[in-house]
Amino acid sequence: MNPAANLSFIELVMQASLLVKVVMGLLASLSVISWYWIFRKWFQINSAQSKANRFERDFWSGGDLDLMYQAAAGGRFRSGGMERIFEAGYREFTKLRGKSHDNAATIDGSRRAMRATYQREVDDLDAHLAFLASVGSVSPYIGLFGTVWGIMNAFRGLSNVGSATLAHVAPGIAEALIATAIGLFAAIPAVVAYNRFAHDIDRLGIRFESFIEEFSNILQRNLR
Amino acid sequence: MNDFRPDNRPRQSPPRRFLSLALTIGVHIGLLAFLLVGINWQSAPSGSLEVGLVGAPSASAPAPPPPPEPPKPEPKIEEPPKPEPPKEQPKPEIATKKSEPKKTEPKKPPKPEKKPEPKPKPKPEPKPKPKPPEAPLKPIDLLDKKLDQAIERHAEAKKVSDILGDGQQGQNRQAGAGGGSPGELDAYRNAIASKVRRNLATPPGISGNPSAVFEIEQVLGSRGGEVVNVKLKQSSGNKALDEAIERAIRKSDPLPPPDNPALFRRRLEVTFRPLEE
Repeated sequence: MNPAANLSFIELVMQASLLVKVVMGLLASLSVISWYWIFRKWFQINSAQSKANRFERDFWSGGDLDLMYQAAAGGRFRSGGMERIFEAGYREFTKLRGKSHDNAATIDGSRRAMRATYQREVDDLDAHLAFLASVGSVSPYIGLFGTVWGIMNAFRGLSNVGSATLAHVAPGIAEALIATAIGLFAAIPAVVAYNRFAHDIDRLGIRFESFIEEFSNILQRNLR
Repeated sequence: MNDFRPDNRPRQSPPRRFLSLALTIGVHIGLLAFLLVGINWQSAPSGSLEVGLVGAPSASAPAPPPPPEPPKPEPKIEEPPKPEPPKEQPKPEIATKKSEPKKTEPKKPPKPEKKPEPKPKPKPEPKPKPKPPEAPLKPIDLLDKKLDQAIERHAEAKKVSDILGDGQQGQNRQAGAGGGSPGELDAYRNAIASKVRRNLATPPGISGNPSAVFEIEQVLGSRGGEVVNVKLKQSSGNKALDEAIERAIRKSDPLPPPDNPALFRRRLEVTFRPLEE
């Protein structure tokens, strides 16, 4: 709390009280983890989108469903979400067609298989988005807590000084405010990424759902 | 019967994971670099106030006053016209100093002139010269007082203090203008300059017009501006002079506080030219 202290960034962090340091460390690690997941999700969603584009193009360019199924089943680990939905639906369809003479039951069965895969795919894309949302909403409060604590200490130290000048409290307040700054640094990218990813995943989900409906129609036509 | 494997999700490919990690580290290093380097915390220009500390104002100071001089002192001067010329030179300042306590002259003008004065060369001279005029001391003192008042009035009228560095004056005012009127700022600057000058003992054997720049870090305490650190920013070329100035700054430890607290600056830049003419 020495007012003569140098007000550089490092000095401010080093002079902070233990609790404020803990808060800063927590926020810094939250920032690192959230950035890690931002990049992971970004790559995952981008690749899911490009794979869905490619599959849609292949699918609607008209080809043999059996051949397409073979390709999808063979390249399972390279395939995208939409391809896996197709694979699950077609597999169920071929199995039921041989056993059941009830067309409606066959279509329902393959739809259920596709829906299950669809939910799994969306869940996979949604994973860890909740973490980004939490970081975005909570870390400003953590930072604020550190700041309030630091300012409380700054003013408590002020009571010991006979003549109170701004120079006595300014460093304490400055170091306390750094906690809020770090909290905002962690929160802003997390919120932006969360909104962006949630929007992208919604759109992908809508594409998956409309594919399920359209593919069901194709299967129904194949039954007759 | 049911050989359908429900979990046909793909595995995350590891390369992406490492790429994400690398990018994360990159982002944070960039952020840290921005905080440490990109932002100039506590920008120096706004926090510094330049104080020009010019040695002898005597030679240059009397030059401007002539205009206001004639009207007032004229009636009394008529008898002692002879002492006039010496008074233009630094020597009679001693006389002023002697008479000061008795007469309670206006404090500001004489102070700056006391100390740095004797240095240039007057040491040998003052003794012989001021003694003869000892008898007619009164008129001279009166004249001095009048002259000083005239100087002061003139300086105030022009809002230019001749004590300060001439060239930088304009810039200083802009740079230091955080709040308060330029007059207050000048008064503050003068107060600092005069206090430091009072404590300065210029070492002998200095020639030319050396100028040194010091940065003083001060904290506004109960006693005034407490000096925290003195840094030599630009040497005058003479080590003894640099040390003398630094000693003078440290000796004047509680620097006078400004009347208007808004004018206080943590960092002061003092430009010193002891032999300015």
